[in-house]
Amino acid sequence: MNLNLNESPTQEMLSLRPDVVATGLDAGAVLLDLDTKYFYALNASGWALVQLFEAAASFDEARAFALACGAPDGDGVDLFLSRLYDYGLFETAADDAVAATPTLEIDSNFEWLAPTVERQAEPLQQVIVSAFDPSIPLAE
Amino acid sequence: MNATSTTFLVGPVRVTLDATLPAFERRVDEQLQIFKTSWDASPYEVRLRVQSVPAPAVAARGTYLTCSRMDIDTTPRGLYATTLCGASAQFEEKWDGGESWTIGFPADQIDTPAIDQLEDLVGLALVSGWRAAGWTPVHGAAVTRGGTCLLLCAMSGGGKSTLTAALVRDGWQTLGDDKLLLRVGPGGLPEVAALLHSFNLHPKTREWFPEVGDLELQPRYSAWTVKRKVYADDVWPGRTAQRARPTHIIRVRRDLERVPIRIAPLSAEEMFRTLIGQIAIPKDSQVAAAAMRTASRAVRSGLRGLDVVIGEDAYQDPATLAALTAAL
Repeated sequence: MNLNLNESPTQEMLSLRPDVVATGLDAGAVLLDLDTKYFYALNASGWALVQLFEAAASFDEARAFALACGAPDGDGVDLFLSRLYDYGLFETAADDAVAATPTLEIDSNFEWLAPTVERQAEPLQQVIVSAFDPSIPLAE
Repeated sequence: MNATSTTFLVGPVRVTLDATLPAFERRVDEQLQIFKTSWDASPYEVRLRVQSVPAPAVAARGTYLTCSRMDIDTTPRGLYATTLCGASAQFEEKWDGGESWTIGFPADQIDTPAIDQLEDLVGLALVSGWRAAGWTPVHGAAVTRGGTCLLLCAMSGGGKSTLTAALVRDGWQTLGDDKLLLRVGPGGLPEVAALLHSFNLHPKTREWFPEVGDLELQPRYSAWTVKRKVYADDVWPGRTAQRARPTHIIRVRRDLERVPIRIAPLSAEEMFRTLIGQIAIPKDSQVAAAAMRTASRAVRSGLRGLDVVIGEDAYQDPATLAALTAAL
């Protein structure tokens, strides 16, 4: 699925799906989609954008946030968000998530770089040996 | 049916087993009596009741986790698991400091090899207990010496046990070659803890380590593998450790082209992926997030990472371990 931002509802409020979990790593973060078992590595700017969607945000808001953080234009943000959208990491935000959206704060020391997301080549195994051992089951 | 009650200390968990039949008690005892490490903290309690049931259980679908011989679902009552023969485990109750499970085993399967499937169900309860006690179960090996602690990560059959044995023979102390517990303590420092001090060695390992003896004479580690269980103290006395602070993550891989050893650094992201790849992650965002947090905090604590590729017969050459220790 390719998102054409000209046709997409860029004002629609979106959230990360609840089975996408995130943790900080270096200056960026890693996301894990528990459904597909794919990992996604984000740089610092990508992580700053994704955190907007932990509650709810629209692409327009994310673009405005990036510009306020020092992004030269919105093109890189559009490309980044469209890739996350294609990966299926977003869903339409629930009403209570929209209501809970915090005020966006910008760290004045934050150095904006083009946001990047890199999907791990191989997902984690869907079928594993045991509740302890995540190895690939061997033929018996 | 009258049940007999037995207790086992399994790391930070005390298992109280109520088994309605001696066959159940024997099989669970066989699985749990190998955990011989000592813990000083008050244990988290896991009560297991194992009983025979007249018919196979309704199969779980694997909405929480899918294993090769067991599917696990999240249900309103808690986790529910079934194995291939129709045995089941149902989470029953949680209280401050403990939890309970009921395992049902089909009566017509008790005297068959399917009894080994109890191992998967009991293992699920153990993992639940270890997590509740604040630890993340890691399918990995660890060795320590002089303030250095290596977390050795590889898939099953990837060479963890053999490298562990080689390092222990070289003077390192082992915390285990297969089952470890990891947590990030106060101050953000990771800590790894031993659960059992044994090696699961393939019989052909004797070619490199003759001191382990004839492994064919030893009992199998599990019904599912030809590996044999060898206790570290029996072969290399005094080479065990209980706790250590990891300093390195070592991603271990075999090389069938007989390259003696190849070593390269790992980035922080590669270390994270290596470590998280040793943790069974269910489709439960809380459990998954906790595991990812532990792995990322461990990596961010300043661990160094190495990718180590070892040839099949590399352990016959002392230069193999010398190269590894020089790279640390």
